[in-house]
Amino acid sequence: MKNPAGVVVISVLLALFVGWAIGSFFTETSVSKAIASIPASPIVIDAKYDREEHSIVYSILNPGGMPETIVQQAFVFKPGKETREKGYVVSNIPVHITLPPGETTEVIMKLKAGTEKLHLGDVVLATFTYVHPLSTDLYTVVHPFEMGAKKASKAAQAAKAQKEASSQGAPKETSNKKEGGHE
Amino acid sequence: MRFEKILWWLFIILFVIGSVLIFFHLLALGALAALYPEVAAFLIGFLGFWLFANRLIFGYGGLANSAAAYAKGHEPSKEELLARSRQTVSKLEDWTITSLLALWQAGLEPFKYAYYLAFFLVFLGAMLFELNFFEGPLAAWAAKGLMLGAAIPTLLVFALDLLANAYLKEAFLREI
Repeated sequence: MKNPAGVVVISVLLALFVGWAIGSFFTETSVSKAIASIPASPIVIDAKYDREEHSIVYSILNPGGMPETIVQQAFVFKPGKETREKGYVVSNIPVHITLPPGETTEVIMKLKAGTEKLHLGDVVLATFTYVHPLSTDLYTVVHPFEMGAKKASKAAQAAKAQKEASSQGAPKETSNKKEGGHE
Repeated sequence: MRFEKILWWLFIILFVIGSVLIFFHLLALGALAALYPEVAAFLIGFLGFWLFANRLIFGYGGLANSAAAYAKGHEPSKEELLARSRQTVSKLEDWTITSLLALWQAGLEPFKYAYYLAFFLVFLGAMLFELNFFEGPLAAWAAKGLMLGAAIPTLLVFALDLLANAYLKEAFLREI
């Protein structure tokens, strides 16, 4: 570039880009600091039955920026049509599982020893009690797991929920219920 | 010229005051830097690289000014040009104004490339952190802040270098 006016134009353009980078850098750092101070409720994004171990493996996502700790597990077993096992409740299993921020953690819940393997249609209603660093309150996540129920796509699930809502007046049970409060 | 001198003394005074303040408030500054590591890294990058770039910024600025003034018909004295470029030549009367300006530019060249090398190394460090070659989000922020702070004086050096080049060409055109 051998023209002073052209040099000025190029320099101003470059300065705009550098200013943009600096501005977005400081925005990024302040936003990530803000997000890092927000505790979010964990979400069970997947559950699989491990037949050999007789346990259910939950993939739990912590979408917030703070670590959370599961302190207690409990589950309710509801038998389906094919099983001869009776329904039972196992509550207050103390655990200490830390969910790192922004990551998916696998949590294994062993079913009651000596019981029959899960059959099609069996439902396990799991309750996870967790705490986060900001308060001493206990929060729970309830996840119903139905043996053999296929993981439908999000759109199909939404359509199904809508259909149920229209046919019965109210949705039967959401797949993921979250409750906050003291226990 | 006068403006440059005022700026220079302002810089010196601010530097002395700042040094004294930093010396007596080292602990407080450290606590602040720990709270805002990215801002601290940005300021350190800006001030530190300005220190290295100072000679280049004022050198290329002065060169652009002199070349522009000469291209517009103003006749600077050869002795003054020589003094400002910090060069020595024998038989000053044989040198034309533009050759003296070119000599001034050539004198700044080694400083410019040493400076660009330093900036490139900082830039490389920030990129390596960005691409997760090293662990640690805090260190990555610090490296990026340092690089962005250093980018400001680097941009000034780059722009003034180009501007000096452009005016030097106009000065050459006048002499032909």
